[in-house]
Amino acid sequence: MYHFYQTLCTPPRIHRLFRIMKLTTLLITIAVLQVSAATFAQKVNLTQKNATLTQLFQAIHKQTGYNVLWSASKIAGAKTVDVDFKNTPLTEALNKILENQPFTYEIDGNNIIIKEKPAPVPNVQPAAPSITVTGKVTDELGNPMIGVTVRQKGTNNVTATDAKGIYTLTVPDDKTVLVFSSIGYETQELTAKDIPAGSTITLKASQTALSEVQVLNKGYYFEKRELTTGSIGVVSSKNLEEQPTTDPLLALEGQVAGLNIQQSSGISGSYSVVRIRGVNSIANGTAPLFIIDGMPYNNQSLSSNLFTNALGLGNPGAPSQIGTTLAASGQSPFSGLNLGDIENIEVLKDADATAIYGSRGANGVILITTKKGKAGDTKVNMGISQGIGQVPHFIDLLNTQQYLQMRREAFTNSGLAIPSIAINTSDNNYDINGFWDTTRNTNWQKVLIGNTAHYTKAQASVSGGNANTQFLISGAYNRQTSVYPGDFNDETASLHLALTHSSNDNRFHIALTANYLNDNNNLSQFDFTNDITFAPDAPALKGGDGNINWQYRNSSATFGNNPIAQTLRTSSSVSNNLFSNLDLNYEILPGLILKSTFGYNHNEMSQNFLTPASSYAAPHNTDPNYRTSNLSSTIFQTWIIEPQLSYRKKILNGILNLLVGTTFQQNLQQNSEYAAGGFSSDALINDIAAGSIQIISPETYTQYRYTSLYGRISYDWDEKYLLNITGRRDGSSRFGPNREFGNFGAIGTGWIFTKEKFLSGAASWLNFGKIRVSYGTTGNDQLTDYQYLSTYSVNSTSYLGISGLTPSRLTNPYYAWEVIKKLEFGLDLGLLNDRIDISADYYRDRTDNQLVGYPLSSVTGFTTVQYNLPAVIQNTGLEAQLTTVNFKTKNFTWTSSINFTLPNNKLVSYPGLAGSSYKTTYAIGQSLFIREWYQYKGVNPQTGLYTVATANANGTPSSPIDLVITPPVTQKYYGGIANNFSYKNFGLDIFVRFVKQLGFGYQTYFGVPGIANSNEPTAVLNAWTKPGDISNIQAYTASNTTSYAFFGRSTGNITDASFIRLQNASFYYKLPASWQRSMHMSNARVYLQGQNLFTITSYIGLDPETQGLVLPPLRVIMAGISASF
Amino acid sequence: MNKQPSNLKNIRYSFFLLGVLLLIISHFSCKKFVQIPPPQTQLVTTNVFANNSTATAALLNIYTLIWTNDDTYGTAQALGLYSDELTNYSASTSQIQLYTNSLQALTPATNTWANAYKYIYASNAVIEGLKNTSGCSPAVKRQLSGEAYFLRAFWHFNLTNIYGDVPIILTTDYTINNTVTRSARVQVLQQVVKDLQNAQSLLNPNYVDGSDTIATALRVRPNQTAATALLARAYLYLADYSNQNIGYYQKADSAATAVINNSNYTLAPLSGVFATTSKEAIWQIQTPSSANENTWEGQYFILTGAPSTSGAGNVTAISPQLLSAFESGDQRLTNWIGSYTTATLPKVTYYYSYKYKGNSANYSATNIPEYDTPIRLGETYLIRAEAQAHEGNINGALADLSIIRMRAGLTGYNGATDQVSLLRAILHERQVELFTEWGHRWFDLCRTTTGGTSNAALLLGPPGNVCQAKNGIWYSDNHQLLFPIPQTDRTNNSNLSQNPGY
Repeated sequence: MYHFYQTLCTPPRIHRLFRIMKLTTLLITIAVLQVSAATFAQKVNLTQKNATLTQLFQAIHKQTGYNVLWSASKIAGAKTVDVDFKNTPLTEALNKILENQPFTYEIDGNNIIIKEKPAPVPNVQPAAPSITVTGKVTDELGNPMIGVTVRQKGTNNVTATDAKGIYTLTVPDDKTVLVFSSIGYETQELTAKDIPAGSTITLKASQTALSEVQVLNKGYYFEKRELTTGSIGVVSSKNLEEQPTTDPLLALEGQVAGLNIQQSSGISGSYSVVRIRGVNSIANGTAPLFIIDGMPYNNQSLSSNLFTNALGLGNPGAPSQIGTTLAASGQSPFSGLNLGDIENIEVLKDADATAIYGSRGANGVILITTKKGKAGDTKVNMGISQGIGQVPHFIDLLNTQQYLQMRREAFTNSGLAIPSIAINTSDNNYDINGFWDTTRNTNWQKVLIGNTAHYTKAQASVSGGNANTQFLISGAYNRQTSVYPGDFNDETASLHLALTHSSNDNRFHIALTANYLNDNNNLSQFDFTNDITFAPDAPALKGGDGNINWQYRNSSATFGNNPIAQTLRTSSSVSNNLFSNLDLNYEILPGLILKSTFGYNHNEMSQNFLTPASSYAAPHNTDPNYRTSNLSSTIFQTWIIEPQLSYRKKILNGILNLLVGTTFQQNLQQNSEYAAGGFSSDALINDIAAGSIQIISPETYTQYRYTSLYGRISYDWDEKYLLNITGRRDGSSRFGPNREFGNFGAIGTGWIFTKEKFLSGAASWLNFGKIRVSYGTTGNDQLTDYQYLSTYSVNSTSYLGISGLTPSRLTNPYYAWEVIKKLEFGLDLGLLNDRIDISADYYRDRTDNQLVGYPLSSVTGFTTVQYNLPAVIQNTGLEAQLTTVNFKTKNFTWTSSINFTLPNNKLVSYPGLAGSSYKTTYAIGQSLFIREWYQYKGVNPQTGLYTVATANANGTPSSPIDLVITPPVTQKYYGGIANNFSYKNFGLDIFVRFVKQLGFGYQTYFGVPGIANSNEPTAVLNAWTKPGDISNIQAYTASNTTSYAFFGRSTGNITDASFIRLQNASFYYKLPASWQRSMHMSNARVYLQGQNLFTITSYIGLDPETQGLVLPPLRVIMAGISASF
Repeated sequence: MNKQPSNLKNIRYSFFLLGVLLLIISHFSCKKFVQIPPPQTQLVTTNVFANNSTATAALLNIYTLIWTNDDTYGTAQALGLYSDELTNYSASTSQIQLYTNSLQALTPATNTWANAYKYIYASNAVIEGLKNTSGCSPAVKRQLSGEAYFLRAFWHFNLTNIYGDVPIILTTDYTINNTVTRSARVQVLQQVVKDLQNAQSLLNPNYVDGSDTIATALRVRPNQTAATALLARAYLYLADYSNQNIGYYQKADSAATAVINNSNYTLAPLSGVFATTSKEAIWQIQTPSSANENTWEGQYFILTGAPSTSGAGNVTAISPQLLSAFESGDQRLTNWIGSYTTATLPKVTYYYSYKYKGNSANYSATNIPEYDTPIRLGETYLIRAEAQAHEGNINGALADLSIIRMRAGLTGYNGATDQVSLLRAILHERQVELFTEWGHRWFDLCRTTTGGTSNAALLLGPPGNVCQAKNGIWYSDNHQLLFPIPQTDRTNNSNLSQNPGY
């Protein structure tokens, strides 16, 4: 390895790399030395008379590092021994100690298991048939459990599982009951005949607060939760399955402190903005890194630019400003990932947990682990559910009478006559001029978004296997329709396969997971919510003849934007997504494991959007140019290979873990788009070749490569003092020559103070207490590819018949990572025998080296160049999580869990802000979520117009002199409260989410009150009407929109958008065990689940989370049944 | 449980895994792995100049940008408003600021500064790219770098006339360009001369097509004569009206003579001066393929209704000052000035610049009647007339002046022939001949003025007069002679000084 890197790396970088290579070599050398010591040279020195076995075993443990596992009760009566060991080999010493004792031993890995000698076969009696039961014990994640007690019920015949979770116990017959127990897990009893040789038994975490998930997956390694030094939030499959949604991201809303998820709309498959601990970057990516089964998963929507205008399904546009409610749209790449296939989701937050992800971990990491098969009888799980979804809340809009009153007053206020079609035949105020039927009164919300969406979910899985090989195959199907008029639906189907195999000697493991998702989304490109502002007297959507009602007048349509025409436009977005991961694992020597993972992802999305001319009113309904067809196809491919070597060894009083590994990753993305128009008939729009005008957009192609070397050293002293050091050296193709590589690392420490002698017993109510501190760096390489290259782009406009080439940008080949320094203090407490579990964190993340467009004088030919600015963003916050077991009896349990996040964001410094394009966007010392807007001064009692504070006496504000800094338009704090009740066979889980935040008022989304064909919320009924009125709503107007525009950019437009939402409730009934037995079922239950049941808010609008005129998150209620066979 | 490890199996697994590991690592070196090829959909700069056709595309695109960024109409309109050619009707702040000579450094009224430096950057990129390549043929290299020098000179010339002292940019290196200081106007003009001499020596005498070598009738790429014509203009400005540097007048004279003596160029009838087939045109800018109108001048000067009160297009009319400058019988008044009279009472007539007659209404991609014409023979005659007047060659000056007058249907010049009267007549002729073309009028007003007072017996009167005629306020410090340096540029490059008074 040494030699290899020496030859391959170019000189300038060699020294730094050398050091790392040296370190690696050293680590491996130490590891190998330790292994040989452990295997060949363990000697015992001890001289003692009348030593008890317990004393001797402890001595051996101290001197050799081997764990000696024995049953205290069994050896209590054993004979004492006189020993005199001088450099005696371990095995010899053990033989001596157990000589003449009814025990024998077995060395397995680091463990010495003391077992009873098989009872000598009596000579006289016929042999009692005795059998040997052997198998493996794992936790719910499938991780082997060490030290689980396996006991013949009611006897002292006992053993413990070894490092691989393997146990062997000899029992009299197959009717013997075996008891499996371990602290923190539910005890399980099984009859020997129900345990096939080599089968795996899974212990469930017991219902104490702390122990729901015992083993944490930190991506490259696992850690016992108790011993972790990092900040990690976990959502288990139980929580996920209760939520009737098809996007796993939505199921995470409010569940984890520090994790903020914001839906862009209630349209199925819409994109959500995900942030862990705030916004760390001004110009580059702020999304966390998503990992599914060890493979990085593309979190960007593959939706095409062609669909930019379509709300909900468009491409995630460049956010004009961080914190804009609709910072991203497009189709969620997670939509269609079956929640039922997910075992758990972990959210890694601090440096300790994320630094091993190096340049990709800046914004936190979300690890999704899918389910694996379990040994045992082949099991079939099936479930089906059906449900409905509706818009939970409509805005109170004006009725026709109020609306017309508003319109009339608007004309009067503007000094205009009330329009009349009889007087002015070309007037187009049809809502009021007498052309439309003013006796009509339609609440357009009910017509356009008032339908009921239907949901169907079905899933089935088969799992099983033996001790060596386990499998799980699961399939799921989801279909949902929309609340819009018309026939729209979104169908997803998924297939999940997990295969695991171990060699007979348990040293070789292979695991394959493969997922295939198909999403066929035919939802409208158009969000009908846009049109709920129609005048309440607007005509019916369809005429009596069933055709679209354009309401012609003299052959021109007065209702030309009839939204029902959208139902004639078809859009489809089909994605096929395959991702799989192969994991090979081999234990070369005890504790030394060589492993490699291979991941692959192929995701294709093809979209089309067809507009027939018939969806337009005459005269365009026959115009070929109004027949258009847009096609787009995007392919995204990733592969990743990660070989690694890990070593685990007991040294002195603690366990040392070493890990080194490397990563090779490549992403490719290709997109092509075509559009055509000028079809001679609506029937031809499906064939793009039939269009007389064809536009081919420039293809895009990006390649990304990433490599790294990472390592970890962790040591815990006596499970009391914990130390975890991680480091990573990363290379990314997003940086120019000699800037590809960067180093990141973190140190995490923990102190379990309740294990100190001075505390044990002192506070009987405190059974667990840990203080964590971590500090480290991660980087952000989420930036546009190729920016370091000096390139020309094609300008399709030609000169002398030659298409132009234009310089793409100024190039700075020297830019490098944004570096985030994360500091964290954490406290974990377990009270009253773990019935109360408290976890609190304070964090401070500072991002330096911000990679932004450095403002340049335009004399350079451009106004910016990509540059690392010493601009600093700071995110600080407090997070708390409290889990309690309030009540626990045989029949009734009640547990609660609360999480709370108080985030704070600040732009600490930004050199050159005044000359940059951010000069009226951000301010030093302020949150990134502020606006620089005008100061709202209320409605002028004399003129009835909105006013803002101005330096100029004429009342017309100007930028930048009149701008003030608004409070941050973002969350002030947020969290969730879960309560879970179970009584006998019934269970009820309720999850309430709360968000305290500022948002934008309804005024921005509705037109100016009084302007044609635009309805308003009833809040405008308080508008100013005559001089002297004090009102907060300006006078209705038919013409003046200037003051309204200033209002829209003023502090008056910022409003409280806090809410408390019953996010989720789930009620289930487990069928009685006797029924289940008689029907050969297990885990059979029926359930009722509700999502987004109701919201308490003072916000005026459809929904305080999505705001604006977009479809709000739907209220979904589903009923279903599931069972295993 | 079977605890008999099979050594054979272990070895097999180990070898398998180690093999995989080594294979992976040996495949990639740490650094090479992340050095990816450039994207297929973008061209890396070095590759652009590695062959004739892409290098040509990089150069020709500058013309496309000049057209699409609307610098032709933009400059003509802004400087027409700033001087006394146009009356403004727009409520747009920048139009008002231009019209009332009250520009603000914080909110630039035009994009000229940024756009000019954009073209200069692109030109420098071509010059540098061609210097370091062996991929282009020598003839192509000469033509393209000649055009790049020409464009660099053209934009520096415009900049220094509008902003006074300006940075001279001769490289693409932003680390240099972002710390640059302003150079004195004379230095800038000398650099312009140097670049144009370079261009003269490099450019093809013929107009070439997209192949860079084959001659074509279209005059949409500068040739040697275009460089010479622009050189004549630069010498005239360098001669410095107040200091009367005769050496430069002689150079202007001989450069202009070289152009005039070239039989490829003849004065065209008034209606055909700007035509695509014009023999008067020395350098035109082709209407690019994506256009929906013939020229921006046609699109935005021609009024088809009353002038608009917002925005920057169709918002101006010919000023009364310009209208009254025409002698009776001047065909330019009838041919180059159009009028629109409102249909409703009271009827108002607006006059507009009608040099370019095509707009979107009569646009056809296959038949574009006229192209933007930044340099034409008519101006060259007037350059020579002015230079000769200064040299004392009265007859020569008279002859050139008369040629221009007679083309407009007037008699030859028969006024006083003393130098001052003659110069005044020449400058007047420039006013009515070159109106609404690339700011000639404003440049003339400025260059004939020193310290606010017009010399040579107040040929045109102080520029402040034109301001007061528009009810603007002219300050006694005469700072309005120059546009302000955009404030953002000064914030981002603290070495850039501001023009006094702003």
